[in-house]
Amino acid sequence: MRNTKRKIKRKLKKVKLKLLMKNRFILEGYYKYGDCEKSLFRKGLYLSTLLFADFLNGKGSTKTYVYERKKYSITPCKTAPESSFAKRPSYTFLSKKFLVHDVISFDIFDTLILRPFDDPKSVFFLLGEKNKCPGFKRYRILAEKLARQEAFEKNGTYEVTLRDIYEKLQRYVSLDIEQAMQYEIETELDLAFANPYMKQVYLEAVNLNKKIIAVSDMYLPSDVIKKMLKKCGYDKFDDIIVSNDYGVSKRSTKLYEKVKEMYGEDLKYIHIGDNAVSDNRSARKSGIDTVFYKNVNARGNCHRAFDMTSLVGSAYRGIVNAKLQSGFEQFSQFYEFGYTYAGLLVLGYCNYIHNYTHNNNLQKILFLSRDGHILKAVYDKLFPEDKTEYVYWSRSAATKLTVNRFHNELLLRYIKYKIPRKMSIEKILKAMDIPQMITPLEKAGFEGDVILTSDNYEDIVKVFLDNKQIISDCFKQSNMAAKQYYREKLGGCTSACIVDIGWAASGFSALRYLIEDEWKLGCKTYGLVAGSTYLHDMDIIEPQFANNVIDSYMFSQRVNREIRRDHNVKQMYGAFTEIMLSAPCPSFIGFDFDENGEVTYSFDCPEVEGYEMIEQIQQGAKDFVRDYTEHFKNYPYMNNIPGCDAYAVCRMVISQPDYFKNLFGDYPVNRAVGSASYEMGTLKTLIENEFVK
Amino acid sequence: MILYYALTTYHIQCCVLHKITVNRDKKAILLLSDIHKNSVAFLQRYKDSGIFDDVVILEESAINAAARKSGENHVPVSHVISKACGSLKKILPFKQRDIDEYYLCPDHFPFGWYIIKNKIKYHCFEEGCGVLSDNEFMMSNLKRNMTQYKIVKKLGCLGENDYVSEILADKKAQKKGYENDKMTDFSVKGILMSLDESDLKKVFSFFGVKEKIKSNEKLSLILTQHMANLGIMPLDKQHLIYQLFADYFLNATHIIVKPHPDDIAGRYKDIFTDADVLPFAMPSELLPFIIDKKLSTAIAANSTAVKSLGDFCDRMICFDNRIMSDFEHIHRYFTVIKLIENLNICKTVDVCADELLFSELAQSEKADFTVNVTNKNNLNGKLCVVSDLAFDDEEIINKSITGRLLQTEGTIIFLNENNRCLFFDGENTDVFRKIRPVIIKFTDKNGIAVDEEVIYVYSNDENIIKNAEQFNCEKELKYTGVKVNINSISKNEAEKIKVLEGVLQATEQRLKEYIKAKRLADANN
Repeated sequence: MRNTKRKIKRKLKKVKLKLLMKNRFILEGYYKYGDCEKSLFRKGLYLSTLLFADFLNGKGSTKTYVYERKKYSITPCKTAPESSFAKRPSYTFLSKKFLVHDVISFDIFDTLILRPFDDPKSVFFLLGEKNKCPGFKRYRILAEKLARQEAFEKNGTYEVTLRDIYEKLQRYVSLDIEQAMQYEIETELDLAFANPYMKQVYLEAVNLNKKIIAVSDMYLPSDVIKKMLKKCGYDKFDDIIVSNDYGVSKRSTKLYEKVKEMYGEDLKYIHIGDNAVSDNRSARKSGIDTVFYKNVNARGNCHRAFDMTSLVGSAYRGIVNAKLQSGFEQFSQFYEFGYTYAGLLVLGYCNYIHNYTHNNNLQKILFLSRDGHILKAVYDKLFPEDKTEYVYWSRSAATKLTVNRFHNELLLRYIKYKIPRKMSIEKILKAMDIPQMITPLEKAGFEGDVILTSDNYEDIVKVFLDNKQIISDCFKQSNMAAKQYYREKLGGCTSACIVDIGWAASGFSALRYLIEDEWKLGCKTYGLVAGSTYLHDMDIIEPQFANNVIDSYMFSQRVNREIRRDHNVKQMYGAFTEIMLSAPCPSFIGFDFDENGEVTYSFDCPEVEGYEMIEQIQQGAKDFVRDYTEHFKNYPYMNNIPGCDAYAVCRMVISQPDYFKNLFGDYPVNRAVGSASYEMGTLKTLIENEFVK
Repeated sequence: MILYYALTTYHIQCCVLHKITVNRDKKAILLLSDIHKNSVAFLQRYKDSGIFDDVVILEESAINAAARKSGENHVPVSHVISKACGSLKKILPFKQRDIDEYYLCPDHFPFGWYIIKNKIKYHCFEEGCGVLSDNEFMMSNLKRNMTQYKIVKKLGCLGENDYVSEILADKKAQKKGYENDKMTDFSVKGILMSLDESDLKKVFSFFGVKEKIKSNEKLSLILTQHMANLGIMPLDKQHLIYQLFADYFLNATHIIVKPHPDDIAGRYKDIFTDADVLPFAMPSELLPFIIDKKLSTAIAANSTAVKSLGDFCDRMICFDNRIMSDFEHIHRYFTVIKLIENLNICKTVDVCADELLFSELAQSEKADFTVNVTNKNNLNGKLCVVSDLAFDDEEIINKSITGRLLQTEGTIIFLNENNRCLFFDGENTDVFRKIRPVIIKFTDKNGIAVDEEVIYVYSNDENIIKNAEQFNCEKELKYTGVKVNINSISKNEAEKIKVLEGVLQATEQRLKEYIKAKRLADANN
């Protein structure tokens, strides 16, 4: 009886654990609120409620724990390009508006001039590094607050100068004031760039021969602001009016009154700025017409990832917001996908590759086709002095070329995985490119028209295993061609880094074996992947990680393990990430020789209908890298983008199947790569068939 | 006192000329409608000119907008008119009893409605030169604003009511046989010609023209249009079209730019740094009087305004609507013309492309051949120029076009604007033996390559192919800021690459077409 009770208790506990482990929503929900000192009945009731809630609402599954899913207000633009929502008045409209005004006034910061951060305070991070002062950002904010408070108590105005702020900073940290102020000025000068939309508006005003002034509530000295404007190409201002020179602000309307005093009350004024109060309401109060230019970051941040490190995150958001929300240009959704999501991954990964190869003194970098296409293009621009090669490689080529060692891969990929397709032996042999195997198969009773099934699978495999030599002979020429190709590509180097996107590093593992063991090319190889996860065997390359032969940028068993857990392969996170690095060329199949002994290459059916999209994605990614590196050219450490940041940005979209369904619904997917099939599926059908909710 | 009411630059000009010539010594005020921003913008200058005793703004744009909105909400027209007139009365910037005569130019906006509704006698100017006799044209234009259209019909605006005592119109410009008892001849051109120097100066200064344009060089004129304003193309493209015009058609001339009165945003002073840019709010009728000598060339995109210059220019260039997209392919047309001159095959070229652009460019390049416009189904000439844009997708997919094209014994130059490679049907690779690509490379001021385009020459004649291989030329585009280098390539590696690129492009294009067709068929099923 006692034993039975114990057994029931144990069983109930097992059931409870099984239910709790169903997903994290239930697990954490239960242990947070349900596992207190409550009666068994109440505990049971609570668990049932959680299970019921989970059942009712798909949002209560593990995917809730993707950061952006918790923030429902943050979503990518799914239906139309984000830049198309940035409806700004056209230049022609503004020109007409300017026509009837005598003085055109511009706000400066976040209107004429942008900074590559979504929050201007992020500049203080860079100052912290220059001043070698941890916590500088916080001190600088506090010092400004103090200075403004004191100014208000003394003069009844919050207007302060940079010097006032730095004098207050001494309360927190003893810095050389002159030096520290100089750092802030030079950093602001370094980072400021012209808002491309406002530049055009400004040129329109210049073209109309109007009086043009810039008015700003700012603590920086006016000569520094003048320099900034000049650097950004705004050199035809009649006047630059800065609040700290006059001790009054736009917000209080007094600065506008000053302006009117200077130029005349009877003139017609128009002011353009981004602040709803100081640039819009206060200007109107002062009898000045306004054009409200909503802040690019206020408009864009609802579409940006936030689960990132503060510095890189702010820079990423600032740059993307400036590009997509300024109103200067409208882009295609594919370009925006490349710019917004792929760009940071490409930049971060390239920088990681560079650091890895230099730290390990590797002589050459091989970028594997096709994911390496965009990576190599960007890498060469970033690090032109490094030796790189784009090399043709693919899973199907690797499977055939490494058949002497990893024959099970061949059997799995070309036979076992084809069982559901109900293919005939003849077709399979054609896809495998080993027609010579027909004789032994026929001898074993498998004619060409026999359909592959799970029943005859093991028998067919046995025939293949008994005739390994025939298979090996079939791929001998291809193997020799590949050897020649890679010998040329390696060019005698003794160490090389092989770059792939992921996920099990099979491409690298196959090449490593061939280069080091089978071909003996005298080159030690190292592999890099963007992320490492393999559904069937999580530890597939664990020893290689341990041996420092492979490293992963974003996540693996060893780094960012929580990201790896979030990376939901069944929800096609991997496939969606691969779209970011896709290339406008067909999949590689294999090598051979022509009649002159030259290496030839064969490719699978080109997915031409996707090339236009891919080219736009690549252009977007390249432009992001160009913009980011240009903005931070004097701060090279900004290029050290943590893998978790790159992933946070990717996750923003890869966790949104609807985004891909809408945008890439027609994106061609060849599910029969390596079988020369011309039947092309689409991503939409793939999501419908393979996405596991 | 006389009151002149005006809306656009042309209207203001009519009022100015009438005041100077007819009512010179009478007191007059000019009432400017704020509907047209250009008029309002130069208020002070108009006042300072002294032509009128006063110039005042009538803020009727809000009334006009409200009337339009009411009309769209199906408010009866009579109510709309009453309401508008009621509102207008409140804002009139003059006392009605002070006005002895009204001159309205035009009478189909709120002020005109007010005058007619209140049965006030007035003089009316025609809306535009010669428009009085073309009522249909005017009415069809007005249909864009149905409320205004209905009001015009109801009140008999445009001079068709009992309160008009006189209609001032250019008699010579009216349709043949047009008669109107109330019409008095008022020719802007004629009046301007009759003005003495001091009056002309007054008019010039009224419209912001500081001095006459004099140059020892040949003079050319660009008449711009406000494409960006109308949403036809972005502003940078609008700038590009005129840069290309200047580079290809106005070589070795001193350029004068006359922006359209609504082309406020165009930044021509920045683009044409050495040119004279006239004020946009200046009527184009003044052009012959402010330019020192006859123009050698006047060019416009597709505005017929250029034709009104008449004898004042030696050559008028005006294209049709196709120019709005074809201007981007102008380098291809230029290359073809240079290539044809170089090949020297024959004196007549069959053109199945934008023949206007081709002919004008050929004339500018002083090409020694005549242009024959031909049908895409009749390309049998010795030398044909073929545009991708002449053929629709279906013709290209079903290959019929390639076979038909290559039946010719002559030479074909493919402009290849859309990279359709019309000469390749996806199968017959033999055609490449008879094809030579001509590559147009663009480099910026620093010599950095910025773009590349390819046209193709097809011929059965090996000599022509050889000549095409040796062809090269270059052109510096001063205003566009690029250098164009044109080279063909012989049978070497580069050629192989270019040809393969062509094959690949054509194959991919064809594949895309098949995929599109298949999807369409699937959707229909």
